Amino acid sequence: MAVRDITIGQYFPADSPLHRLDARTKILGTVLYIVSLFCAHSFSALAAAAVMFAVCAALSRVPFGFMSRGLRPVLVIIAFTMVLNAAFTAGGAVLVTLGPVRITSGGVRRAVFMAVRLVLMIFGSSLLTLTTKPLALTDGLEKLFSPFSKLGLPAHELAMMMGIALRFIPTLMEETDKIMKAQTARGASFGTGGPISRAKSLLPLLVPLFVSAFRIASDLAMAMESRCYRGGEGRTRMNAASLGRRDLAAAVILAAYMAVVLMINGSPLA
Amino acid sequence: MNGSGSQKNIIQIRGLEYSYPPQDDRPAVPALSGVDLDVAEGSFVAVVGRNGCGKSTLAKCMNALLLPDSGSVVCAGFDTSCGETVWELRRNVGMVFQNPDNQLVSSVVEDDVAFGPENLGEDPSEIRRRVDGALKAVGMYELRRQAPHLLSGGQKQRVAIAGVLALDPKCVVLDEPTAMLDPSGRREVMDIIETLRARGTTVILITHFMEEAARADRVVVMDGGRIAFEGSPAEVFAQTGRLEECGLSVPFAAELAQLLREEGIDVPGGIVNAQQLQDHLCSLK
Repeated sequence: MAVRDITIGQYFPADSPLHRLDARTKILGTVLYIVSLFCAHSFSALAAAAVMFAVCAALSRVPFGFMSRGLRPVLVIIAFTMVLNAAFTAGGAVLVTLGPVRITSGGVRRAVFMAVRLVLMIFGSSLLTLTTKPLALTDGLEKLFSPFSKLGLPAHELAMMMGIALRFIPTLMEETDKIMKAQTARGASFGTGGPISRAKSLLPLLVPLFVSAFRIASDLAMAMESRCYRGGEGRTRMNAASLGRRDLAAAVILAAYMAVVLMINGSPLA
Repeated sequence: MNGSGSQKNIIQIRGLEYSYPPQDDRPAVPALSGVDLDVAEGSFVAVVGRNGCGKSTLAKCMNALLLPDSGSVVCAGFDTSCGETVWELRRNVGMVFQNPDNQLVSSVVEDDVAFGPENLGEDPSEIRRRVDGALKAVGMYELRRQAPHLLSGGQKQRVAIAGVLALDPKCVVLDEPTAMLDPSGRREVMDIIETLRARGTTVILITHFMEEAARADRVVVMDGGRIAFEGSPAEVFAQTGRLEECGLSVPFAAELAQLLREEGIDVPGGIVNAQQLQDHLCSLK
């Protein structure tokens, strides 16, 4: 288990049209993209989504290899979904019969469909964090949610928490790696044996990890306080983001994309 | 509202006592008992002492992160126990901590440096000016768009110092900033401390390394929650016996000078660093 594999929350520094978009546009765009994936009921609609992703990925100038690293940790979940869907979806010709389970062509179709949808969803959302600096992302979220702060939603606090979580992903990864090596050196073994003994073997990893996460949190709180942090009130920003013509263009493209997906869904192509 | 009018002491500590509150089964732990300390504006003071002697607690008291049980701490004219001026105090007395990873807030260097001035509610253009200035002062301007976890320990610590400088403080308290660094990182941080000193910023350096303390104007030795003795590096490091009682050693150059003296070689007292020793030995012939 390599700990540096997860790219979610990892900004890829580059200068691209996607990087320069306002975070709010990208957040709403990502939400819309995920919604479109759930609206898509046919492979042709998914193909449209895949094309959309490919165009965005090319625009982002993030190397595909870097992006696909974020997929690896969720492969198990995807495989699991595929198996479940294949096994328990009825319809179409029966392909294989395994005891009580009949795998049908409809089931296989559905399994592949779900897998593609999940992969696109992960790729699509990782594009957001790959092209948006965590602070810009949290600023964007804060601004998007600030209308709700009058209703008691702690927009600033949530955004700050998320930003810090993102910042500390690599730190906690390193910490995990360190603890793992220390425990391995003392005879612990990870990733061997059955699922239960594997889960048990995580315990000596999780307990010290939690302890160290709390220590880091307390250190960080102190450092933030000493740098005059006192909540969102009266705070300003160095890079005050503003929506520009670029964001308008992105909104138009996204709306057109959504319309295409819905049209394909309703068309005889589906 | 500047100080009590006495001479230019940026930090005045009188009869400071502090105990860590009791936890579960552990009783309260007294960390500081009766500390008096004055730090002159613009000076470079090193605080040394073994683990648990209270030096980090003392540092946190200077930034109002800990409040005295009794006694008073006045920094840059603000009493730490006065709740209203605590933010004014903290912008004037910056603090750098030991672990470079655990004090950086943002995933981009320049955004992290901007964190302090953003908290103060400065204008975006003013924040930009301060951030650029602070990053240039620590030589990290070229790496301003880098992610902190990709930097070396020394570089991270320089970013942390820049984050404090962006608050434009009169005084910087560094709590063992080099403890987790390799020798080159340690050198980077010490070079920046020299820069701060040249700019006239008061520097209080809590450290385990006697070589670092030897570069200060004044060394304060702590033991058992109080100040054992203090003086110029030459005075302090001449007292090998007292230092050893406090669980400390003398800098290598001072130790070597002493050994040479015992061998009958004419080496004066007051040598605390390699350069002085080298200069003196070369002048012997």
